[in-house]
Amino acid sequence: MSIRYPWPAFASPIQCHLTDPRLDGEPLGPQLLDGEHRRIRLDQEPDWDVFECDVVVETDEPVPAGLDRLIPYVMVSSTTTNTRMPFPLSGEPADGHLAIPRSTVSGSFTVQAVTGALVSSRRRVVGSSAPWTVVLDGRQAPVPPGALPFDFSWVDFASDEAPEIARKNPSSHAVMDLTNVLPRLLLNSGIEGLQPLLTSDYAQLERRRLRDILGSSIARYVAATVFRIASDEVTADDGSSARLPSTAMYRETCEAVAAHIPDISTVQDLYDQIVDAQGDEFKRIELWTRIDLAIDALCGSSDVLTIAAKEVWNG
Amino acid sequence: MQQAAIWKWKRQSRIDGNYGNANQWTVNAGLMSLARESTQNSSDARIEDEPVELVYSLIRLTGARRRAFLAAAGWPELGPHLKAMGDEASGAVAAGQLRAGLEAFESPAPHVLLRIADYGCRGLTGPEFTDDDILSTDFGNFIKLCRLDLFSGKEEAAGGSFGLGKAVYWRFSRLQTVLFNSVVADEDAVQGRTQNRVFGVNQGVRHRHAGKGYEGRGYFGLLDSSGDVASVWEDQDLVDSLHLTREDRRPGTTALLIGFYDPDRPDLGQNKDGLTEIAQELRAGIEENFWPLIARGRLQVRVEVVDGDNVTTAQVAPEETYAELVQALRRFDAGDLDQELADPYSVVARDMPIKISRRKTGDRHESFTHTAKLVVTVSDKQRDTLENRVCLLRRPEMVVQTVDRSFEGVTYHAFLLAGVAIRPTTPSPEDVWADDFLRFAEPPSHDRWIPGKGRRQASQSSLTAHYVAPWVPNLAQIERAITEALIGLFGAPPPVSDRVPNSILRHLRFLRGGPGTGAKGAAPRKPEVDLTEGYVQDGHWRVKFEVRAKNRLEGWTLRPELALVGFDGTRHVIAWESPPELESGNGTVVDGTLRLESAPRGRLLRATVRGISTDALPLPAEESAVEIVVRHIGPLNPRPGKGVS
Repeated sequence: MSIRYPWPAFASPIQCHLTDPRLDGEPLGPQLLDGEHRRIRLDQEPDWDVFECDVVVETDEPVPAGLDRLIPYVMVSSTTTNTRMPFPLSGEPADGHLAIPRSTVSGSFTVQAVTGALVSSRRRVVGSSAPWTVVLDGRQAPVPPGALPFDFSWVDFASDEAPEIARKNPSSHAVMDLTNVLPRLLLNSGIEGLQPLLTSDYAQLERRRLRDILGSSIARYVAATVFRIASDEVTADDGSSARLPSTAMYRETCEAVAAHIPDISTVQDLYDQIVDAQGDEFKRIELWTRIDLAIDALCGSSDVLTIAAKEVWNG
Repeated sequence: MQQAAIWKWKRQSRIDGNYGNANQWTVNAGLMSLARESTQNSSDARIEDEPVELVYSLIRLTGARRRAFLAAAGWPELGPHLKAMGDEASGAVAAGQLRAGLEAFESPAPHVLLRIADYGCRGLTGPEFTDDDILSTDFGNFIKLCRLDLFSGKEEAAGGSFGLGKAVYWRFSRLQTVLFNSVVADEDAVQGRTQNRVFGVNQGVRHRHAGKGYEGRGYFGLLDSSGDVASVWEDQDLVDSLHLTREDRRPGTTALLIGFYDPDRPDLGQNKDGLTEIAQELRAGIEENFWPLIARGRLQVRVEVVDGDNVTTAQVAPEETYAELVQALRRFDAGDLDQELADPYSVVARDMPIKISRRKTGDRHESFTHTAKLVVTVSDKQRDTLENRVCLLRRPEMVVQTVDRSFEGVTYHAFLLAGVAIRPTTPSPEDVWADDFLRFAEPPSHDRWIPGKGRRQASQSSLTAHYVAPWVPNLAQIERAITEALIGLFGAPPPVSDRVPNSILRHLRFLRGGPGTGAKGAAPRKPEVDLTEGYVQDGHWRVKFEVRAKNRLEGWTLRPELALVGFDGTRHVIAWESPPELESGNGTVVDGTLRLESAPRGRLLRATVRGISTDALPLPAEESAVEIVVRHIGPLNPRPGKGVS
């Protein structure tokens, strides 16, 4: 999707550099600042009161004709606290200093450079940068390559060391526990044969088919559980657009599910339909039927079952 | 005038030989190992009920000080023999180490000595030689340390049982050469002498020098009437020039490691900062391993760096680093315990039964159950290396090993007092027997009671000699009992994270930013739209956009709509003035719906569309921002028996 303004504007994103990040005056370790992904991780840092950093904003693009008096600033936004704080910049290139109290942000917040200008005596936004994300809660952080955004472990659901949710369901084969700070998937090592079956990368014939059906079934269970919790967080005030789920994992799941519902174009459409269906029983049933089918497709359940049925039928 | 001290190596035997002392290889490298072994050596030699003071001095020698030291240490004799040993490098590991050490030692870089001096200990007691008329039970500390290998002489509860701990001194000397000076108590006087017993030991390899063959072990001292090397006594000048001066007349031993280094990091310590780093690591290692002994006031340790006339000193103070543990131990000793864990620093204790096997040597006791004490306290917010770990302790009050368990929502510190560690001054016979059992369960590195499995399994062969099997279940039960007690206090620990099976993982790739299993290939799964042109004219938005969709048999239908975009990302759909019109591409527009027909070739279907918005907008067009959204996406020609994929 691309957005158009009716006034002159920079065609390319402007550059926003954050340097010398500090917590309560103490410099942060360089490993916490990821310039490539424009991300600062504070989720492992102990309590702090004020986050500070220096900002430099620049662009190689000439100022578009018709713009008068550029007004550069940085917008700090935290959706969970409804915070939007502008910090003015000055100079050429424009620079300035941010000081963000911990009490004004939560979960994560973004730092985005914006350039305003006078256009025909009106103040307009004429350019913006890709945002930096400052992560305060690990659940808000993007997941590194090769990792899942939740913990996983094999545990005997009947043992004393199993979490309570598992001990209460000793014969279940899987539990997706979302009550922790970091969600976790528990698989029951007490079910004889389950672990070797699911971890068998070279299974053949009936073992392979059963492994694939079980694997997609558990994945489907995970996705459905996560989506259900995510959808509970999708709400809207009267007349406004739906509010997004709080964590990256929830949003990723919603985006993936939306992509598998044929007549929904964007995840925002899905959010809007979830809100729209909340007071209408018929709409809710119809929407959740489509969601269930989408999760089936997303997790490969339909494909795996189709293939297995065909193979068994053909002998 | 007193005879000068010399080095002397035993002449080579015709019938056998030794290319290095294997004992030192049983001691791990690393400063943590040095801290554990050397402190335990001094603790084991303590005089009953006397507090031990231990002083580690890192001494950096340059220029005249270096030359004076070498002269006093007999370098004109020692150096050539060490070089001859290094020449044996092709056939012996220890010789290779010596050669590398000699090269480093002879470089212009400063020499580093480590002096470890204990006070309040027995010192190097007893006779000079293992003569026939002296029983092994009468061997003093001097013979055990300087002349014997694999002889512990500790029948009752103590630190070690192998007689290997002393090897730590040679392990950390580049030249495998250590000098000693000792003061003994009046009652331990040797032929009436108590002060400054100096002796040196080189644990090298068999070698040839000046056409003669020699064994690996060499001694530094005075020749006695039979031509063997004996201690030098009461030679203050020698003591001073060898940097072996003791601070006062309290009994104890000073060990001086010539060419001190950490075998794991041989370059560390070449400058003042490096020595400071070593001093800090040593201090941290002693605090972590001996906090109970120090907390109970039975050991004081300081670490100093001596660089010429400049001396910096740091006191080992676990009450700052491990405040919770120190306070919990003192409250346990005072019987001041809480009923339950609540706030930080609250302390509870739990009985931990340990089954002790029947002993067939020494005191010969029956099997019995020893009651150890698990002490647990809630941590403060200051992070340290022992949180969420249970330190296992017995008589030496050194942390033998830790049992690591984490629990959600709580940070704790804990320790298990077993054997004599429960009541160090008034142990019961059962406490002593339990302590012995656990001591014999320890491997030479004294870092484990609980048997490991597979590659983690350590030798516990000492138990075989003294106890009736089985003992493995007794030891394994210690860890289980601790875990159960902790679960009782904190609930179940979080399961240890594992790797998600591929059979599940491949269906959840969408959670890692990758497509789900249903999306394969680079073509967009759903139609995408790009607003390529847009401007306001006469209150209308005039836009041009391109739609791209995967080329599939059933084609596509979709409705492109124009939406006003708010600052907060919200979108408000507005009507077209007239239906959009196709400018180019694969499709047609019918009643505002774009229809994309399947094409015989190509991966993508493309259509460029123009449209004009109504001028009945909720805000002036000049004030708004717009984008195109596509809705009501579906197949143009549904395929029988096949859904949208």
